[in-house]
Amino acid sequence: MTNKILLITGGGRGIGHCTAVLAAQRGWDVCVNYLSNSARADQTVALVRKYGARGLAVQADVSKEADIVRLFETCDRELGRLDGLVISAGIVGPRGRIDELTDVAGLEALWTLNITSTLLCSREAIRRMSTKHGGRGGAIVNLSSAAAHLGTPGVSVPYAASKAAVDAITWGLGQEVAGEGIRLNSVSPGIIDTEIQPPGRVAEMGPKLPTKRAGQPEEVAAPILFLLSEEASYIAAAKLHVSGAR
Amino acid sequence: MARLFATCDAELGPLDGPVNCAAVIGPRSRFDELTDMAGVLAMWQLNVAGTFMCCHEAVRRMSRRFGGKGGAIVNISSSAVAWGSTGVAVGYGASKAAIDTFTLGLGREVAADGIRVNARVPGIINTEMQPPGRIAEIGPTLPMGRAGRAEKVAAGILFLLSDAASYIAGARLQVHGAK
Repeated sequence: MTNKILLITGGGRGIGHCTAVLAAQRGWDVCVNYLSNSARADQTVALVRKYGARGLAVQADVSKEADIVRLFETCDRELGRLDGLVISAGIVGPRGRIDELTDVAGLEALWTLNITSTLLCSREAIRRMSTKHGGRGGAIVNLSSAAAHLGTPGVSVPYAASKAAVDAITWGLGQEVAGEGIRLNSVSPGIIDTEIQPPGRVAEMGPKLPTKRAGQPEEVAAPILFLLSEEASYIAAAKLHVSGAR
Repeated sequence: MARLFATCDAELGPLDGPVNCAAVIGPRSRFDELTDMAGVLAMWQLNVAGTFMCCHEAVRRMSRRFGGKGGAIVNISSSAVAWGSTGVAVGYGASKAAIDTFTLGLGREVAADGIRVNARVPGIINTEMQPPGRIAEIGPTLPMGRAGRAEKVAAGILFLLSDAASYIAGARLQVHGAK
């Protein structure tokens, strides 16, 4: 039996990395992209191969349309026909109060990576997987955030806004393609212990959470793999919170 | 309810995870044409008070505050929370909204005591709860062109009970086929 093929943006680090490794254990071949840190992506691919799956790392800046198109084409050529996409690449963007915001370029970069890139990566996957385009169906998982409903005042309102946009994409685009064999869903993590967190935040916030601890990236990867699986065949355009009751 | 849990304790042993599936739709009609108010109250009693009492028994057995070993609870909500069940059974939608809020509140309250409380939110699923003919009528109009199967709702419940969901608490898992 041949493996299904999964592309994970931001698969070299954090939740994306854990998702790649777990996917390999569940019988997916995995393509990840990296922006500049090839060593990290190579580590992910090495672990994927250790579990007997095919792994591929492609340099691509997924905030650029041409790079996104090239990433998907490389995955087509090297691994084959796509079955799943996890959009894990994301940034927090400018932090702090809005009345003190000066980094407008950072704001533009945030919208581009967290929103525009999500739409363009989805577009490429839909063109390959939709039965409307001659595909055989598939599954997409977006990474949203609990910030989308918390709003994260004083800390990262722009990030929360970008993830609220992801939620709207999940709901709208999820309905758009549900009749074409594609299940598009999102997970909304709470505070997860990855390098996206500023130094000290996990230690500070962990004990204040309902669970008294931050989540581990493996605890987000497992729900992502569930949403990609056949077990979730009637789950579409849905948003799953993985936030420890936050 | 107390006897049910006591019998389960005696026959099977310490509880790890209750699933609150028991519910009814109750009298079906427009609100202004509703005559069977007793039927509505019975629906509230089963859907809301039943879940509430079941969770109470379960939390007192599983919570680390009470010497338990933790566990997971799955309540059953409904897409009717978002739709309102307009023209059919607005009371049913309201009863499931109560389940959502209860799941969130209790989920936060007991998260540190080793209990994960979540809700599974089905859309239109092909079970005997549906009136005759409704699945055949509505199925093709749904985004995925069909109603859901009970087996896949069960799979979602088992996922929420499993260790794969270890950081999922106070959450809603929609199994509604994009509607």
